Amino acid sequence: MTSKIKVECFLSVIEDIVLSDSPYEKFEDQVIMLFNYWVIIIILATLPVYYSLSGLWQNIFLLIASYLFYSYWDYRFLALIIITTSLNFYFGLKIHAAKDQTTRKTILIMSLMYNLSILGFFKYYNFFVDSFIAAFQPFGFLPNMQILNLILPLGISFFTFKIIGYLMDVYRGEQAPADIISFALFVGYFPEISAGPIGRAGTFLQQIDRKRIIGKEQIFAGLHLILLGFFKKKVIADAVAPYVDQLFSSPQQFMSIDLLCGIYLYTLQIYADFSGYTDIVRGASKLLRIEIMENFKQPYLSKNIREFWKRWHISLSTWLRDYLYIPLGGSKKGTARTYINLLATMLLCGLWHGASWVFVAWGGIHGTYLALSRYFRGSLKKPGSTTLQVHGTMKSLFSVFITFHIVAFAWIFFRAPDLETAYNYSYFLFNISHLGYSSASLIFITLFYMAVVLAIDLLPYRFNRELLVTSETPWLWRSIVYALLILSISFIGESYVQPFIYFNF
Amino acid sequence: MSNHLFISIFSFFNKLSSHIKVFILTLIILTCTCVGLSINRDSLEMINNKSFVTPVISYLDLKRPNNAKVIFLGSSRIASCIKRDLFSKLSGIEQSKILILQSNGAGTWEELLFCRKYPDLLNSNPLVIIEVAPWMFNKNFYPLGAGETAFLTWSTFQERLALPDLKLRLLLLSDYFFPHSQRRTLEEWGTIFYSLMIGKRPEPYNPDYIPEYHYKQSAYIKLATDQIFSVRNQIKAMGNYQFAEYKAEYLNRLINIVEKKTKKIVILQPPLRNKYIDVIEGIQELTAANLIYLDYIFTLNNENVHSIVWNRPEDCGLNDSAIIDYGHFNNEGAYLFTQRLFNEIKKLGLIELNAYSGKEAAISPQDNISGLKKP
Repeated sequence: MTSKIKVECFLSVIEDIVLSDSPYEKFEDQVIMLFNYWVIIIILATLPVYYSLSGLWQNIFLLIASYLFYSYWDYRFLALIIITTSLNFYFGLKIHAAKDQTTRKTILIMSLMYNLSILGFFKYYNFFVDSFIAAFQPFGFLPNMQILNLILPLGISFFTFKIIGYLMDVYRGEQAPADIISFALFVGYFPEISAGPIGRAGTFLQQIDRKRIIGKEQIFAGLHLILLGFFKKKVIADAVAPYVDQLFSSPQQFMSIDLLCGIYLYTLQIYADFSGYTDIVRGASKLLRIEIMENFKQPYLSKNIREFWKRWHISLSTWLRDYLYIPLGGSKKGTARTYINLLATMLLCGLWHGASWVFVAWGGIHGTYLALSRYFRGSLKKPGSTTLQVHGTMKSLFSVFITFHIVAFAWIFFRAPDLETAYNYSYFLFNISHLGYSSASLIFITLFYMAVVLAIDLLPYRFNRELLVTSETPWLWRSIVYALLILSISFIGESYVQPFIYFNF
Repeated sequence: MSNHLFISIFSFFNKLSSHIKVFILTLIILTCTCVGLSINRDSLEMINNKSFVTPVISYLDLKRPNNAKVIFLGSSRIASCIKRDLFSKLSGIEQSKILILQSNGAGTWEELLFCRKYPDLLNSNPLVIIEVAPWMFNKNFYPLGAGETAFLTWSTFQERLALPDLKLRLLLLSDYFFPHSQRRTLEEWGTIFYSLMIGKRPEPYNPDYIPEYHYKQSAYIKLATDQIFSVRNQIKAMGNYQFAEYKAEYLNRLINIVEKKTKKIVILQPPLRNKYIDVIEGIQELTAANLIYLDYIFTLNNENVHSIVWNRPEDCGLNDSAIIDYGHFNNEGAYLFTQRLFNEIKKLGLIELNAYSGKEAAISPQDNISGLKKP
């Protein structure tokens, strides 16, 4: 009997061990890794069909493609996106048709409640239940609430915000309701659905209003963006990820310089990962002649925190400004209220990223930075106030240096799995007993990748353009840049797959 | 004439639009790099090896041994169960002429690779002992062999084409033209360039090395004391067992190559721990799979090829105490096994005593064990 149980036990382990250990799986992974390449290849292969269609059929074609794309991730959630689209389409029509302001407002509130409750249920239910139980446990009260095993629908935070933006625009009279196909395409547009950017209805609907045609310029610009995106993801983000994972998993084992390198590396990783993803989807969308808004503009070259938020995740920061900060009163309701609005907006920005206190803390830190920045800006403007007498390039470099470091420090909270780890990381970073470094190669690697990111960003920053090379660049240089990008993507970097960080949000 | 052609091509190129020029030049740079990487696959693997097979290839490449009298081919199991010093004493063959070419997790493809790449190995008419095990023929375990990088480096186009899985086949065939398997981290590329600059090459395989199983027994305490752990870890290799015809084909080809040079071939399966065999016999699917494998091995027998298959340690007069984990031998076990194997080979008439040294190697196994130098 015992032997039979043992045999069964062996049988049960055979399958999962084989599946998890086999290098065959590694090859499966490579196929998954090619998934993004496949999307690009499919887009390129279907371009002739797409451009032979009329405007309406182009939209239908893209809508079908978008739903297929979403089903590829999990077909069960296709119903959610279709129901959400239909209901919000109806809300949009009703808001537009309502005669009086009260009815318009009531419908808007109803629609917001629907959208936020869907988002809240899937994304925040467990977080609030967990926090509620944790808050009452010390008092001996154990509420009978269940944690649910929920799957977060892909891109729910992104398409919910897009829909809310649309409804608010319709409510404000800035946007006429779209037809059902255009609206469904706006919500489910496949390049944007998984991780943004959070597109605006006005810009998007205007572009799909007519038949799209493409020229060589757009094809080259699109492919260039795609290559740059894959370069950032595969050559930078995925390469530094193992170091970051190691440093954040047990910060107490490392010296302060190592931990500092860890912060720098994560700062580069999240930028390369997210902006790389955005470049890929923007490039793919460019091939379809639908421009997606720029989401990053060399953010680490910002001279202050306000500028940083104008350059980092632009679609989210402008969304928060237009649909949260300004409706809350912005800076028009007195100094104290301005600070409260800033803090509230950034706390919600943190919470939007994920149902965890570390994101709330990260948002709180940025809210505080923005409030302090506003305070000092105000006090420095007062006559007679003393300012640091540093001018020109030195001042700019110093400002960039400081901004980069305060942003990098805040990333500790974004990256750490919990507040305790974030605290430990900060503690050992600043603890003088941990002063020193354990690996010179880590310092070298950090400096190297910082130089790579700087090289990518400096030229576009200097000439205020988004690409490394343009059609004006001599063809020899363009060929070399394209070839180097393709070769780096193909032959440099880890062979395993790292999912895009923002897919989690 | 050639100048004229060159000028014509150049002026034609100049007339093209800049987009076309960019496209063509990019393609040329990519093609040149791919060709460069493809033809340097094995140099890159030798400098920055990722496979257990590569040190052996490096060794064969550097030393080009061609006077071996006995060659053992196989995985870490073959290295753990053979004691060259005892084999040398028993047979009278110089120890340096007994070659154990092993790489961890090696399967039939690796064994074929050694002989195919360096056929001179077989010039001295050696006795070739090829290790086999049931998992070596499982389609779902290491489809490319344990040293998959080695497969990506040294496999032929036909071998890639013969892979059973369509996705894998396409991936590897595409790699043949666009060598994406040569992807390495920046640090690895840095190491390669540094090694090239200073002319450094990694240490090749040392055929005199003594497996850790023979002297670092404490490192294997978990394996030695926890049989279930060890057996469970290895039984995974039998999971989803499907007999791989293409892996059997590697062995057939290896035998063909060897048979052209020597008529003394042994297919050897060293015994496994009893617990391992119990598990196989306790699961109907695995028993059936094992039978298919054994059937195949026995079909290989002919006047030149002799199979010696020992399932349990008792089959060769040993017991579980000779084995450290599921199937690697400890130091004492290796001495005893070498003696048993030698006797069996002698019985088959594949080795003639005194044929090489002219001395009688008549010593009892127990004397051998106590009298021989141990690590």
